[in-house]
Amino acid sequence: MDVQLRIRRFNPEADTEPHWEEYAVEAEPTDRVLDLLHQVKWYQDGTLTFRRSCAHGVCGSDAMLINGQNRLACEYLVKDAGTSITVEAIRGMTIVKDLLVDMEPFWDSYKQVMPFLVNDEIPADGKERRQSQADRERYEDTSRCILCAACTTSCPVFWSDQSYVGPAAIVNAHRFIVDSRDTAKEERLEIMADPDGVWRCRTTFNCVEACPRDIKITKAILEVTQEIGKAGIR
Amino acid sequence: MTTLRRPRVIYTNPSRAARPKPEASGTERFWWYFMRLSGLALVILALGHMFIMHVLVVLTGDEINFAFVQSRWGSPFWRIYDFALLVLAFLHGVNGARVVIGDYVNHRTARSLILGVLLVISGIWLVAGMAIIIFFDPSTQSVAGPLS
Repeated sequence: MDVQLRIRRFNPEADTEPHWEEYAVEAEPTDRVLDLLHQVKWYQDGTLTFRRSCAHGVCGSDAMLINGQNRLACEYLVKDAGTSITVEAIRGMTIVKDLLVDMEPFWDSYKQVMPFLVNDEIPADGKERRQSQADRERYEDTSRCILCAACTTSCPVFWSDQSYVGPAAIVNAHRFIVDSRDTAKEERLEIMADPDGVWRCRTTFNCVEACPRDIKITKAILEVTQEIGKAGIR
Repeated sequence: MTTLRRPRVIYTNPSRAARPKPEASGTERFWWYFMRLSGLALVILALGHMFIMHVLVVLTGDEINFAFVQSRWGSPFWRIYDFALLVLAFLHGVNGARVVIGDYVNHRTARSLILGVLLVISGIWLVAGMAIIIFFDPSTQSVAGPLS
């Protein structure tokens, strides 16, 4: 089938504003949008710039705004996207070139929530920190985040003010806040209770719709809010 | 030789690494809970208000005039009801506007200025409304005003 692919392109060395360019691509219904981008880059215009690594929905490199919604280009099939497809860079970030954005502010927010297990105590048996199945289940959902930034860059609060920590950072804070083995819960909750933390969420559910891993992000944000209340942080 | 143009920054993107360490905010926490609880209370208060003013009045054949207000505000229950409705609706609405301004006005001076104007105007209106409910004397005679 013939697909008309519209890509919002930006060359920092020549353009002052991004502009749309159209490409006619031949595709199978089972092709992914990423395959179309490859076709353009490999056979039509080698200057097209985008990020991708594993191409199988695991590394989270190729989040893009496809047909108006944030998705992974490697997971979205042509048969679902239709014969007229638009592709843009994710929003609220500085565009480096074409579909490639500067992810550094996203990582800064991520690093700020201390996304690692903090526990300096020696386990009872000297080897393992045991956990009940119910305790493990509490962070099962949020531990599946692949840091693709589809949620944060679909959030209208983040679009208008990037000082908001964003859903992805909250999800990754949640991952450790509700982990029974972790000892830095209070410190993370302090960070989450910042004026630019959980309070800025308006529960518009854009993040939930955008998440390629179907993480219940708004639920996680609410749970962090509840934990702040329980810990009596003020 | 081609000269490279400096790339134009499309969006502002302040790095969080350059910001001071985040700190818990009790104020934001208070308003977060306030918005949810006042929202719940307002569903009941506002629907009750609408029912009395627009349904019950028609059903009982009453008319909303000075005498109607006099009879209602003769009872402390309705004064407290209207006072709660006024204060909760006002604070809920103004805080909502504050949040929207915070989301959409990024220029610091402009943001402070707009917030200041909002707070002053809404403060005056809120105090005026509260004063009327508190100090209204049901024995006052009806005075023909510009709206009567």
